[in-house]
Amino acid sequence: MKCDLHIHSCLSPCADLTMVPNEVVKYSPEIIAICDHNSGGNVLPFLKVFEKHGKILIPGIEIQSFEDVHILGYFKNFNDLITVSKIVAEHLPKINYDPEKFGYQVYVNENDEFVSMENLPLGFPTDFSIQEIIDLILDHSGLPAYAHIGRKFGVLYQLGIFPQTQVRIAEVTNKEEYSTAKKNGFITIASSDAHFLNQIGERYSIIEKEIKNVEDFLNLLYSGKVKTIWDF
Amino acid sequence: MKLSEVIEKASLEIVFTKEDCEILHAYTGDLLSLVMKNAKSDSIWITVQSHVNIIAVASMVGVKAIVLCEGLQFSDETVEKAKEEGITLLRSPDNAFLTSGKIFELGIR
Ligand SMILES: [Zn+2]
Ligand SMILES: [Zn+2]
Repeated sequence: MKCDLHIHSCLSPCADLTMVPNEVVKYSPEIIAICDHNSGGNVLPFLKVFEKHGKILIPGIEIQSFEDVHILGYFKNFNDLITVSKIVAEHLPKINYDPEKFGYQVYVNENDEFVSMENLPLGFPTDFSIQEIIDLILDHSGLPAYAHIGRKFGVLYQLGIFPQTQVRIAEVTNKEEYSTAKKNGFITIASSDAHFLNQIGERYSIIEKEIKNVEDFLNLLYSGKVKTIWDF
Repeated sequence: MKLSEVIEKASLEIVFTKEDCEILHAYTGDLLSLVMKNAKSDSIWITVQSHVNIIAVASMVGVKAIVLCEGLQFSDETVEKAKEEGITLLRSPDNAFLTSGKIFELGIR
């Protein structure tokens, strides 16, 4: 089974407004994760729509640290994601958000209707350190992963080398990043980081087992059973 | 130029220092991947990046001293690591531009 564990919805200021549940599901492999910038606020309608289509949706988030490092969090319980999301919201800068300048942040329902807009600057860094974000995710039974390690806002791009943390999973975007992550003992995943519908599945991971639910999947991910194309 | 002389002339605050040394170059930047690629050894490095990884990067590259700008604080963890690696830690209340300018004026490139 293919999985794409890093997809943005229309809540992310930099994502296209067509990133709504009933569109995303058409383009998605069997398993995906929605990981919006600093929020899990749009995950629920995706959960409902994916369930209807018999596909698996992993509740996720992409949190930005004050060192400008992006960290992904995956949760087996949707409620844990929402708790984390609320805490993250309190750690975003309080500014007057101008969607014309920074991008529209739209909440959607399971019928793809826009219901409201977020006024917190979700595309800005929180005042959390990398370690605080990792602890926050772990404290809520989440699974942390470093996003796009060698690209802008990736841990290696920002910090040169991997810091000593509890993170065991690294999202890689090419063979070179894959090798670096492997050398450092990481489980690797590859994902599209899609902001537009046609980017979904551009990069993906593979799991060679039938998966029933989110918990199953996350357990297998944590035990290194999810592979990238460079593993073969 | 001697590090002690740079510290005095650029009026930098000492957080930790071990022994005096010769500073040949300087580098300003916050992305550690670029620092690893582009900073020269025997440098003083001007930055606002305070993550503990700055010590590992400095010792890999041969950076002798790190100046943290904007009045920011080094964490205890960072100071501990700097002691282990013998990297001098300095602070400046000014931004990285002004701090770099002062060091540039001393003739360090
Ligand atoms: Zn990102
Ligand atoms: Zn992303």
